[in-house]
Amino acid sequence: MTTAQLCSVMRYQLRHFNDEGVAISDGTVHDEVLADDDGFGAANSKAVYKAAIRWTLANNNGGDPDWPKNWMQMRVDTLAGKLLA
Amino acid sequence: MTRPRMTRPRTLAALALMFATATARAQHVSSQASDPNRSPLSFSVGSARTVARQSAVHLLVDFTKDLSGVDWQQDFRRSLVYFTPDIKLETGSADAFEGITAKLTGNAMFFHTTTVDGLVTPDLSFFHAFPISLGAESDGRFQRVNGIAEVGYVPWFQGSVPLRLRTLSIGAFVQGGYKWKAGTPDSIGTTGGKRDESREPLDAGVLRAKASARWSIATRRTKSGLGLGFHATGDAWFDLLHSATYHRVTGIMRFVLDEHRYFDFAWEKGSGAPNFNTGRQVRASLAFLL
Repeated sequence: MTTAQLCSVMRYQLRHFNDEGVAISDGTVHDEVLADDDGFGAANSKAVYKAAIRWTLANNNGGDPDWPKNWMQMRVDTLAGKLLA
Repeated sequence: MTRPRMTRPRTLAALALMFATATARAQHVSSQASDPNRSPLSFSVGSARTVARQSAVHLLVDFTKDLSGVDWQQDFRRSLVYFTPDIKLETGSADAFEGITAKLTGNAMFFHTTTVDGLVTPDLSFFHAFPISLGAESDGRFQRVNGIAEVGYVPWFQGSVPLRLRTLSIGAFVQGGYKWKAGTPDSIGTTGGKRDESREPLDAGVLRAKASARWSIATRRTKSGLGLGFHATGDAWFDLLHSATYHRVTGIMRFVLDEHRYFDFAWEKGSGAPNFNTGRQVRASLAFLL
């Protein structure tokens, strides 16, 4: 798995939670799109997105790396690079 | 609790001062966060006036532990499940609403998969979410404690509808558990927003059906970090054991000051679980995300 591939998946998944018309790119910061109070309990966009990316990593031989504490403030390409480092 | 009649907060001047102070210290941020409520710990304090016309200081501490990297998740072929703890405390002086919930919350997701740039990934345009929670809810004085398990169904359709409809969420839940009397009988006589107005007796089982809806809209934040948002929620409970209904409706106007601070004006009708108090409350609070 390459950083470019993971960025593609992240952009794809972010589009599903984009309710403000934010332009999704590798430079999109996650907290521009995701929130933890837009659903019910743990079923919110922040948690669902993270779970989906973890599922993608685990099912494409990317393992289950630790996520940076401040990943919501990171750009797509920055987080992808951290997760695959 | 004396019913209806909202009154304007008498401490408006103090709140204005808090607002001005916080605004003056606003720092430049480049993000356009739709909501600042993403910190592992947030603290909110402000002033509230209830329908009983008693000034009340509203104190809200919301711990939302985001155990990034260590929260538990199990993956399956076309599904996954994860868990994370959630603790919320709401209390205040006079007859302000109060309650404590401590839960282990989770979510089971069932989805189709798709391939993006050669990688198999969940197709989240539409999927089925089943929020799960297991924990306790109490009045603010631990005089009554409910052990509650909750399972719900949330159709996550936001990825397949037009932009304007994506801010609407609906869900249905079933809650079951037991309600214990933890305090002495003399200490249970409370008034106003603290009073337990549910028909659920102490030392007995609890079984409820619940329907919930959430809607929110937010402006993009300016480069200085300022933003404006509105959140509306509605919850209705049906007590399956005692044929009673309860509800809670809230509206919150949120002024985002920067990525660490926001100012809320909130209107609340009904306290929700566990007291199901039917009063109204107007609240203003300044929140700090730590």
